[in-house]
Amino acid sequence: MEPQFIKNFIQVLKEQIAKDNRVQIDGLGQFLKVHQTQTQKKLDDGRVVLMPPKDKIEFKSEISLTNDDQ
Amino acid sequence: MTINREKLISLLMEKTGIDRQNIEKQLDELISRIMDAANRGKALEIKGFGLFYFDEDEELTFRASDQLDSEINFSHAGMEPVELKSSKSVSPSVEQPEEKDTVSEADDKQQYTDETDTDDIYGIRKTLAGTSDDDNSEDSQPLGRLFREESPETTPEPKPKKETKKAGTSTSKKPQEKSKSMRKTAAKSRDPMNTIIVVVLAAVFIFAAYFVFTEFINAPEQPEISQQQNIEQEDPPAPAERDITESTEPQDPEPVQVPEPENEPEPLDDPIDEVTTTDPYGLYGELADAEGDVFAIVVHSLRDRGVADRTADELRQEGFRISVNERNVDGQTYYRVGIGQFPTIREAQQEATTLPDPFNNQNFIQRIQ
Repeated sequence: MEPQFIKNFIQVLKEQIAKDNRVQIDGLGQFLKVHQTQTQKKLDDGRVVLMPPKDKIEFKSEISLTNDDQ
Repeated sequence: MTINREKLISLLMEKTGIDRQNIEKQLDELISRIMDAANRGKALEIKGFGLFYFDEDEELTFRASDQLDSEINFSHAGMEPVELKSSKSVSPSVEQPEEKDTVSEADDKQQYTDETDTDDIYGIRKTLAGTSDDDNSEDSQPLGRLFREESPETTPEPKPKKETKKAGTSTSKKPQEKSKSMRKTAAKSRDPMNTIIVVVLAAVFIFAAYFVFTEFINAPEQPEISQQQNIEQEDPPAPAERDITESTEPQDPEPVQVPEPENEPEPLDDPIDEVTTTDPYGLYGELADAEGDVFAIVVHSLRDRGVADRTADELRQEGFRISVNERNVDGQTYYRVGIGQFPTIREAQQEATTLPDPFNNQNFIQRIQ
């Protein structure tokens, strides 16, 4: 496996995820971007903070050891 | 849109220029590498991308690297948690559900409630949960630079707040702008108080300046007024008298001789005759009894009685109507040598101007009766 391939693979995934596309990799799972809205959160010390919105990569796995065992 | 295996391979072919078979081979190898490491209880990290591992539920999990996270989250870069209520002002029932972001997509919503998010605010990262057997198989792979295989227990890394440092877009500056505007409004709310203070200070300063100015204007008029009042009340003006005394004492013999003694006998004779016979008032002549108020022009105020008498005699020889009056000023006795007798202060002042130098300048009016 060539390092150049890995770099390009990462690059392609980033580009597609950034475009809100889901990337399906058979045998692993699916990568997608999710948006988290801003939320109010009460911290342990009693302070209430407003958490900013955020985009995050989510991975939906196709693989589970328990399933494999079955 | 979903990028499936076919689409992904074609994209990789475009990107790398490698033929399809090679791409498929390397993709399969990558997948098997990930699975192999995960199956052995290791986490496989692809630098710049993320970490693959099996979690507690034995499900393959991916955690994006900080770099990937910040690149994906570029549209919200620079946004930081905003403190709504401090710990003192928070009541126990304050905790509220999240506010809906109007821009958000309904499908992909996920609650922002896991504790790792809270820890991210403070740069703390929770350790990954997972099982591990041993940690000594690192870099056993040929692509050690890009891959790092490690046990889940060693994977936790402190997550720096790169997102906040990332150059933001126009939307990323909103919280800062909000806080700035809040500061501005707070400053504006303080402005009225400041202006009131400034106005009050300015008013006080103007009044003070006005009073000082008026005092300067009235200053020349005060000596005459005070002099007249002191004379009428028979209260000797101590400082003025002392000055006169001190200045006149050493000059006592001289000013007495300065006036022309020989030139004025002729005009003196007539008034003396008239005064002795009819008028008890005037500069020249002898002292005479008069009814009502009597004022004299004091030209000497001396502490020594003998000197005062001698001075008075010398002035009498010049034809003046001389009186010596004793006054107690601040416990000190002064003997005042006065010239003339006048029924009013005004007449005395007018006659004082006709006296020879220096008496016409150094004198004051005193009630002697």
